[in-house]
Amino acid sequence: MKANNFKYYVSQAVRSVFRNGLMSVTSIFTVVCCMIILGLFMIISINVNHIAQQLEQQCEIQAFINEAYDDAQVSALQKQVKGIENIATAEIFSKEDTLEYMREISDNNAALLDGYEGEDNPFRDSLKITLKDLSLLKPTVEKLSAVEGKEEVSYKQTVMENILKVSNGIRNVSFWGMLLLCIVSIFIIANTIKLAVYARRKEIGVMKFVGATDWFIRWPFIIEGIIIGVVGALIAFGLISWGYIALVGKANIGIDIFTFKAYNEVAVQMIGMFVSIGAVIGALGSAISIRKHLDV
Amino acid sequence: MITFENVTKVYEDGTKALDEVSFHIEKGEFVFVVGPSGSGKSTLTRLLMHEETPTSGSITIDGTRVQDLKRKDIPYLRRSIGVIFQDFRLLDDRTVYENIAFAMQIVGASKREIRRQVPHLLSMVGLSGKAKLFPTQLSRGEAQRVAVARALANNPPILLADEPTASLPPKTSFEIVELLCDINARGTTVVMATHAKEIVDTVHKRVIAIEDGVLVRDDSKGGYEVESK
Repeated sequence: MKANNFKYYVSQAVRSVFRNGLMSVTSIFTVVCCMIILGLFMIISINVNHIAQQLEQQCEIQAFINEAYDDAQVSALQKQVKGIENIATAEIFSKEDTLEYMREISDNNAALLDGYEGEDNPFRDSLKITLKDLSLLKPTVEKLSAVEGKEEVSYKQTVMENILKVSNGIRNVSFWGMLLLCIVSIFIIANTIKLAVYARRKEIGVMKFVGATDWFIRWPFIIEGIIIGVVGALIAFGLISWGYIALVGKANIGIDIFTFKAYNEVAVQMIGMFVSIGAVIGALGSAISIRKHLDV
Repeated sequence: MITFENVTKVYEDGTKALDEVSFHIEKGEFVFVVGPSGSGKSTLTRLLMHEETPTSGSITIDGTRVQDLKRKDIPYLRRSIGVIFQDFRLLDDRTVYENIAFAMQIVGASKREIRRQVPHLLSMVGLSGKAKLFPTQLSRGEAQRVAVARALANNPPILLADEPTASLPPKTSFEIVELLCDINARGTTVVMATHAKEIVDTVHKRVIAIEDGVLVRDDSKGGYEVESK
């Protein structure tokens, strides 16, 4: 594409956006609406992943250690467990630690645990294990169970699996929701470009008989679609950012279990996606329209 | 330059617009294609522009068989043929200058070339002082002159005029034809489809007459109708 021609395509595209003012505004508005909903799905998806990661880190597997093991054997066992794929951390939690922990959570009844120190401690030494990827819980537990020296593996199976189910569910809904909205936007842009083609049919006729190549005629419409898509995406991004800053600022106060992702991190993830999706749906919308309504 | 060999065109609805038409036009000739409305003149111009393809026969322009062209090559054929129409087909939202420059932009001419060529063309068609006017501010004769200037913008070897005087008053029509004769005198091959009897009879150039799609006459210096002897 020659630089001269590129300038011409862009100027024609911008001119056409303004010339079809009302229709362009309508399509940009529609793209904004779709992108806002798409953005909400993205934000939910990003935050569910973020929260799931936080909860995953809190979800622990407890592997009880053979009582006959001495310190050296326990250390060796810890090292072996750490070496298993998908294990993030494996910390030794002695029976003394367990007793202390039980006292802490027993509040007023802590005195009931008096006299269970030393030889009389009924608890067992264990390894507290966290995973890198919760979705690989079952195979990791299987590998863990095969390790010699531990007696029993315990984990909050239902809680962990529910987190997994919810986060996967939201990911799926988000994906199909985004896809559906992208398709809607594509067809709305296609309709706008159809009107632009109609408005410029005389010019297109002149271009054809003067000897314009097919792509010389197509490019301004493709660029027009991209402009509509990207402008819509940027406006939606601005609105979503504004809403996110306002809401998350308030929501993050008073929640201890997890926090929402900071705006800066969300913005970095979203801006590129928004502009790319805007440009792609704009270009696709134009392409569909050109194919159908522009006989070049 | 242009050769039609047994060209037949039958449209999808079964209408036979041209039937076994053959002729050859030399470089630098001025040829009138005459015939009543619906005789096949427009089909002939559309075939030359490759807006239609012949059902049978062959069309050769400057050594290239038109129907053998790939889709991507058609624009380049069109660049070798300047076209003017009865309805001028100017862009009303652009000035006279921009209308002519537009044809050059399309083929990738530089701004410098455009700045040099457009005033030259305007002077040639006698519209030097009208560059900044819009088509709606021009008379019909002036609008057709702009269309001629645009058709010549990329120096095509052939100028195809499809009923260029049909919507003009007689005096203006003659002025346009005079202009086309001037252009022809500079070496451009001119093919003009018309049913303007006075013009054909006055200018006295080669006449190809078509009736009901059939070539009925090809006179090297003829009139609109066969002269009675």
